[in-house]
Order: sequence, then C-alpha cells, then structure tokens
Amino acid sequence: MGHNQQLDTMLAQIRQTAEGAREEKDFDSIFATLREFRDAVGPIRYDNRSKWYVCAALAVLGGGFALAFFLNPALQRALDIVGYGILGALALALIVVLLVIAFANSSIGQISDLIFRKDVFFDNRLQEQDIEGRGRDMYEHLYEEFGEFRCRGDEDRYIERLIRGQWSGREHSFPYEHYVFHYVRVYYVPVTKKIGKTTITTMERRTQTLHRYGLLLDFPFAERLAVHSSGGDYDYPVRHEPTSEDFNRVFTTVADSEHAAVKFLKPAVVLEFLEMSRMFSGLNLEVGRNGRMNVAFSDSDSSRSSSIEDPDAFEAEVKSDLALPKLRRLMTFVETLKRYNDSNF
Amino acid sequence: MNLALIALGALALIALLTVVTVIALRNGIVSSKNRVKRAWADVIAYQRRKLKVIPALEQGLEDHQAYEQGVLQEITALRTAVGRLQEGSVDVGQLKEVSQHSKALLTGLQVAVEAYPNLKTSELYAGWMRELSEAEENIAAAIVIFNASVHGFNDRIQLFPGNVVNSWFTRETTLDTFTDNEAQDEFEYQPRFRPQ
Repeated sequence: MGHNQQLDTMLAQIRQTAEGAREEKDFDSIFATLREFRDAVGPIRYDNRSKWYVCAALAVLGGGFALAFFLNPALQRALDIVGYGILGALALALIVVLLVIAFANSSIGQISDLIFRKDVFFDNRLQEQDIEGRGRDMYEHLYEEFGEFRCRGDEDRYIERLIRGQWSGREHSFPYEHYVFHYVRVYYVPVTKKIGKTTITTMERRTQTLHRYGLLLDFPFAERLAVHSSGGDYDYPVRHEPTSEDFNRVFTTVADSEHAAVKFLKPAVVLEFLEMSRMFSGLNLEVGRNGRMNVAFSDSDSSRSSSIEDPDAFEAEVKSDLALPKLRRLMTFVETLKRYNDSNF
Repeated sequence: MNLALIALGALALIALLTVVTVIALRNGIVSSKNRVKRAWADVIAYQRRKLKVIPALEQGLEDHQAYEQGVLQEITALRTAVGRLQEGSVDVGQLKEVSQHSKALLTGLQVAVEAYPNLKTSELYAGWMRELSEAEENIAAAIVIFNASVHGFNDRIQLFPGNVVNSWFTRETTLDTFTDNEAQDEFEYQPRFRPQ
C-alpha cells in the first residue's frame, strides 16, 4: 500500500476515535497512532509529487497543442470545434488536478480542528448540542425573542452551533448556552462593462457570509432592556443615556422604562461595559421577556497553533489547559452584572 | 455684477456657517456642564444609597452586642457629611470628607468584626458587607465617570475655538476633579502643572 493510501486509512481511524472521544485521555491513542505512522511510514501529509507531474504534463501538452492549433490555420480548419474541445478538456483536467492538490491536505486540518474543538469543550466543561436540521427553527425562535437577530443579514440565517456550559464563579453559578449564528449579507455593486463602443453599468449581486457569537442565559434581575453597539432592532420605548460620554459614544440603551435602565446601568456596570467594548467588537446585550439574557459579539475565540502533522507539538497543545479567554471574560462580565443587580439579603 | 453676487453669497454662507458653529460650540459647553452636574448627582445618589445600608448595620451590631462607640460615631459623621453634599453645587472638598468618613467606618467595622466572631459568621452581616462593598464600588465608578465628565467639560472651555466661545457667551470656569489624596501621597513623583 502506498503512502497516501496508508495515510487515508490512518486518518479515517483517528477521525473515528476523535468523534467518539468523551474525555481528553481518549486522545492518547490518537497521538500514539500518529507517532507510529510518522516513524514507520513517513510524514503525516499527502505526497502530491505524482499529481504535480500530471499537472506539468497537462500544462506542456496543452501549451504545445494550443501553439500548434493557433499557429497552423490548416490544423485549425481541420479540427475546428474538436480542437477547442481538446483545449477545454486539457484546461479542465489541469484545474481538477490543481484542486485535488489544494484540498489533499484539508482533511488533516479538519481532523486537527475536530480534536482541538473537542478538547476545548473538555477543558471548559462545554457540551456541543446536536442541532442538525433545527438551526433555522432556533433562529426563528430567537428572532421573536431578541432584537439582536432582527434586521441582521438577508438570507441563509440559522444557528450553526450550540454549546451548553456551566459557569461556576465566585458568587454565582449558572448554566448557559453559547451559540454561533450564521447569516449572509446581500449587497449590490455597480459594474461597468464595455461592449463594442457602448459602456453599460449594471448592479451585480454580491454576498458576504458572516457570523455572530453569543450567550443565552437566565437573568432574573431585569426585564425588557437592551444595551447595544452593533445592529439589530430593539423594540423598547425609552432611550436612556447614562452620564458617561464614552459609554454613550459606543452604546445605545433602550428599555421599557427609565427606571429599569437606571436600575440596571449602575456606574460600576457602565465602566464594565466600557471595558468589554475594548475587548469585544459589536457587543450587544439584551434582557428580554421573562429575564432571558442574550449577549452577542462579532469576534470568535482562540484557534489552534499546531496540527496532527506534528504529533508532539499538537499533543502538548491539546494537553495544556485550552482556555477560551473571551468566553471566560464574558462570563465574568455576566457574573458582575448579576452581582450588581441581585439582592444581598 | 455676477461676481459681486457670488462674493456676497460666499460671505453670507461663511457668516451662516460661523453662526451655526458658534451655536453648536456654546450648546456643547452647556450640555457638557449639565453632564458634569448629572455625574455629580449620581455620586451623591450612590453616597446616599450607601447610607440606606447603615441602619441595618447598626441594628446588626446591636443584635450581636457588638456595640462599638467608635463605629457608631463614624456612622453619625458619615451621615452628616453626606447630608452636606448638594446636587446643585459641585464640591469635591466635601466629597473628600465623605470619602474619609467612609474609610474610617469600614476600618471600624473590620475591627468590630474581629472582636465579635459570631458577627463575622452571620449570614446577614455578610450580606450587609457585600451591599456596602458594592455601594463603595458604585461610588468609585460614579467618581470615575464624574472625573471624565469634568475633563471633557474643561477641554471644551479651554481648547480653541471653545475657549473663544466660552469667553464671549458662557464664561464658565474650569472644574476640579476628585482626587484621592491618600492614594496620591503614596507616589513619590508629583507632577507640577503650570497654572493656565
């Protein structure tokens, strides 16, 4: 069996192990397999030399044929449409081989991501929820509940991932859900084309895939208010401005009543929001009906620095405590909000 | 003729822009002063909120027979000092006095707790102390916001062209920020600002 086939078999095996892993210790056998493969077979990456040879052959063949075809009118007449067909087929074959090369090692990245993500969950006591086929319904439900999801994106809106966790802070412990919201923005740009002597400007449709990240949890100390800095549509009648000019430059506060907003936005909370705005882009917070809180932002958390290609470095990374600094900071922020809004008696 | 009209139009436009800018600057100074007043009112409101915790504390001290004369005196002194704070006039000197009494009260409470262990383990006492500590944190935050508002206001009346508009219309003077002298004394370095 060749190197690539052995690699295929080994990757399929460790993918299966990674998918079934229930704790960090379950990854040990993966690292042992990886090291064994590296020592006995060779590097953990696909050998694309033969594909590059095919590419070079196709390029030479295509180039030679194109030269002969376009420089020789007799050949061009004789082959006519068939000649163009051969040229097209050669170009297509070249593109296909290049794509195969480009994606050959992507499965290594995917498996590394899978192991890394699962380990992050283990280290942070998070549990990924199976929301297959329910992402759109969840979005519809959240759209009704929170302004964050209204007026955001134009199509393909759904909850991509949902992770459950439990925060144990100094004064408060509470369960929460961390979600990844997927949406697509549609926009149009003017494009000018010249056809003969005429110039035509048309509006071309473009799309941009975006994500928002957030937390859902119970916040029984307030109701129907929002502090937002980025998009969404909040349906609250009263706009409140605390005395901090810096805060008002970044955030807009709306609530059902001035009293509710003043009670929630104590000076210490205002400063906490300002600090958070330096760490998170597009921070929005809302407490909806029945004291359900949504905190959303635009930038995601940490990413891996190594992969299964280097089993030793990757194992060291996985075995370390993979903190999610942003998630932790967000949780301490929520705990601070709870602390300033609860009753101490 | 046309040239004269254009020049006249340009002059009128410049005059209009100047008037609009002056009005905007003047209103900016006024709203900035109002923001300082609101921030000051917040400081006082949170100082008074702290006083609401104190009757419960007094009752708790009596219930545990932790009757410390020094603590009760500090409570009275703090009440009087907070009572002197006025929403209408920004007086950071008076605020310093309140701050000193607050610190003295907290120190006195700690001493009382050490002397009465059953008070220390009391759930209710822990609740008061948390409430008091949150009140102190909110006061500190309100002071940070107040100081930022004062800085914003002072910049508006000192920087060009705000200083010109201030000298013509509003005639406001710079305000003092609140500084914690005790904390400042711990630094050997003291900046020397030239009076403006």
